[in-house]
Amino acid sequence: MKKILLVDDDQAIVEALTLVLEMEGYQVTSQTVGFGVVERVIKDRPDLVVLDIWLPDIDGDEIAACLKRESQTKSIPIILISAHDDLGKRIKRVEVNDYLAKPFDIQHLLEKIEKNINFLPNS
Amino acid sequence: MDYQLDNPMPQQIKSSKERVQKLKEALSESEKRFRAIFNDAAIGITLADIEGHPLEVNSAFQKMVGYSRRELRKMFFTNFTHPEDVDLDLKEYEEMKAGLRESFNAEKRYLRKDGRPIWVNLTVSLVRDEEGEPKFTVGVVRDITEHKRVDEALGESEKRFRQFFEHNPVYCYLVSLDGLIINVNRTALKTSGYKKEELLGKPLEIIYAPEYLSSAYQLSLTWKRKGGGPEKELVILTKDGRRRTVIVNAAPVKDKRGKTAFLILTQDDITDRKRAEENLRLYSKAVEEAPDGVQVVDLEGKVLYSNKAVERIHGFAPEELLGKDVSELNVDLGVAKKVILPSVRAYGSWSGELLVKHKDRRTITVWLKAAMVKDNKGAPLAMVGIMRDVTDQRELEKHKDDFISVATHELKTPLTSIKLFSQILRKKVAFFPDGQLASLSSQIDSQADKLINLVRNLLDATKLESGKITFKRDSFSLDNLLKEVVKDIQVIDGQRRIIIESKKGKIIKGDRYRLHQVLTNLLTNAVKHSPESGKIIIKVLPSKDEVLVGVQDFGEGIPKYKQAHLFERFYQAHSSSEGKEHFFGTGLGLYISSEIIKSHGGRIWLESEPGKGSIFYFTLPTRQVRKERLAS
Repeated sequence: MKKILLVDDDQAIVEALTLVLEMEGYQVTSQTVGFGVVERVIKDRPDLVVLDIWLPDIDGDEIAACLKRESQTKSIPIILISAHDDLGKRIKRVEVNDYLAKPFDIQHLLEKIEKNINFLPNS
Repeated sequence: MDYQLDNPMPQQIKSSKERVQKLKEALSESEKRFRAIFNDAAIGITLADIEGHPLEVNSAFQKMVGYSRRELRKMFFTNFTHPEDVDLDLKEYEEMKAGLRESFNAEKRYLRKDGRPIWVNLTVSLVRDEEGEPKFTVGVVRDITEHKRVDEALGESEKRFRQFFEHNPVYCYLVSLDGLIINVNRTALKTSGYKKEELLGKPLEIIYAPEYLSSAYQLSLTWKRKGGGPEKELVILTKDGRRRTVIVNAAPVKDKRGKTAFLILTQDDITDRKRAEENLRLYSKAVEEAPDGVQVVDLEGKVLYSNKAVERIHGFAPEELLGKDVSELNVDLGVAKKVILPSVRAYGSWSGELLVKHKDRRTITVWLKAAMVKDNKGAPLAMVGIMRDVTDQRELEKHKDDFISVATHELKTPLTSIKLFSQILRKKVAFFPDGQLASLSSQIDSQADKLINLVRNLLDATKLESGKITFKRDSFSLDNLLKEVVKDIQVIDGQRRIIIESKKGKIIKGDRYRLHQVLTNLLTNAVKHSPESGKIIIKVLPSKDEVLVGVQDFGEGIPKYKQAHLFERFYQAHSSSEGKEHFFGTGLGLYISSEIIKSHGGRIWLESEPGKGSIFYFTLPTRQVRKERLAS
């Protein structure tokens, strides 16, 4: 079962996405703050990270940049999501696999996950 | 009678012989005396026969006309009379000959032998014989040429004076020493509205405004004392009560003995000049006090003038700015020389915002509109700029934009979860036999979509307004974009047929996402206003420099008067009271589309006929034209 780490400060979105992704057969872990995401990714080694940009403590794009710098985590695909209108600009500054503006159609997210998720076994 | 010759006494011939001898001697003596008088007289004397043939002329006369006695004897008086004066005394002469008068007097011209005309005063008397028949005429001729010349000169000078007086553009009065008007010129009458006879003999005070009477009186006393004198500004009153400001001056006119006979008074009307000066002062004060900054610079950009508001904006006093190069005042040192001045020179004006250095080193945002000042012939004189400190406004707008940015984020977050939940719900109830639940959940979804679009449009409109949207320059296939948009639309609306009429393979440059938005907007509108199961045509017509896209529906159309407003913000062609179902209800869709197309250097417009449908067109430049259009 593929593992997805979901980071979003909005509890309702976390709940909804967890529900959908589990329905689709993913194993979902989540958190609502930026603090500890990098450590968690290193520890849990998810097959994909869905990362919100506007988090209460650390900006999601900075976490993404950090993950992409780390040799241990840089192969893990990241999809940035944001309700913020400068998403397009922020995307340019960081190398992520994909992004999606909120609100989105669930189908779109599922397609992007499908496209980017690591099919290679995690080592 | 001693010299009586006509009664000789025959009886005393011997003694009478002696007497005759004596008489002859006496006569000769008398004739000598007469001849001496005749010859040496200072005035010309002529003796002529009845026909005007000179018999005898004296030397004075000969000198006068330049002819000798012998020459004159062969002439008639008409020969040496000025041709213009020949007829002059002919009538009198004839009358005299006819016995109607004994003499006549005339002033006439003779033409001298050397051709020079002379003026003479001529008195001609008739001498008759014993029978009373006209025998000859005696003329006494006085040369009055010099007298005439003086006379004429005097007349000329008086004529000149009269003309000078009458036609003087300044009001002129001749005033007696006791202050009565003797004469007044045309100009004064025309302005004052009085008739000449209303003023003649009246005291001068009649023309002054009441409050100026005493100073006019004082002035006239000074003039009397000094015979003319200082000028003074006074106000006169026209007959109908209008006030005119005049500068009054007086000069004496003297008689032969050098005593002042009367005064000539001149009034220079400065009302219009004064009014013009006052207006000029008012205008310059108005510019000085104008609430917006006004600055005049020469053609090289050196400051010639700044009003008070400029000081409030920059912190620099007008004197500090004088002669400074405007470039030094801007944060971007090149903007004036490279952008503003060239644009004003080339197009006559420039407007926009720029960052300016304040004296206290703050940076302020200034909105500037600059234009060329030209003379009457269109030659450039200087440039004028109107400026306004928009720093606070921009700050406020930034706060507003930030607020909208946060607010839309906060709106989108719950919408995201609503949408997710509704979609989960749909999936969960999809297999339920009762279709009602599925329909209810899909309604939640579509309502959420409406809200999402509304929020997105509001945000876009705000960003477009503040120029915050940056457009990407992707190269992409227009056909693919069209297919994609049509596919998306058909997910929402499966009933209407959408036909794409396009030549394949058109690659365009622009922001794919934003152009997607434009096409979605136009298509959604077309769907919204088309009858069910109607068709919609998308036409793509490439030309040399641009590609034209048209979206045609066959719906109700849009009345002419509404068409012009269609691309304005918050405008809706069909108000909700008309009961139409709206997809986006903000009235922002076409505004956003038009702003996007304009930012791409294209045009957007529509052709519509009520009852037949509408075609919305837009163009996208495919060549360099775009750059030029953006620059202008």
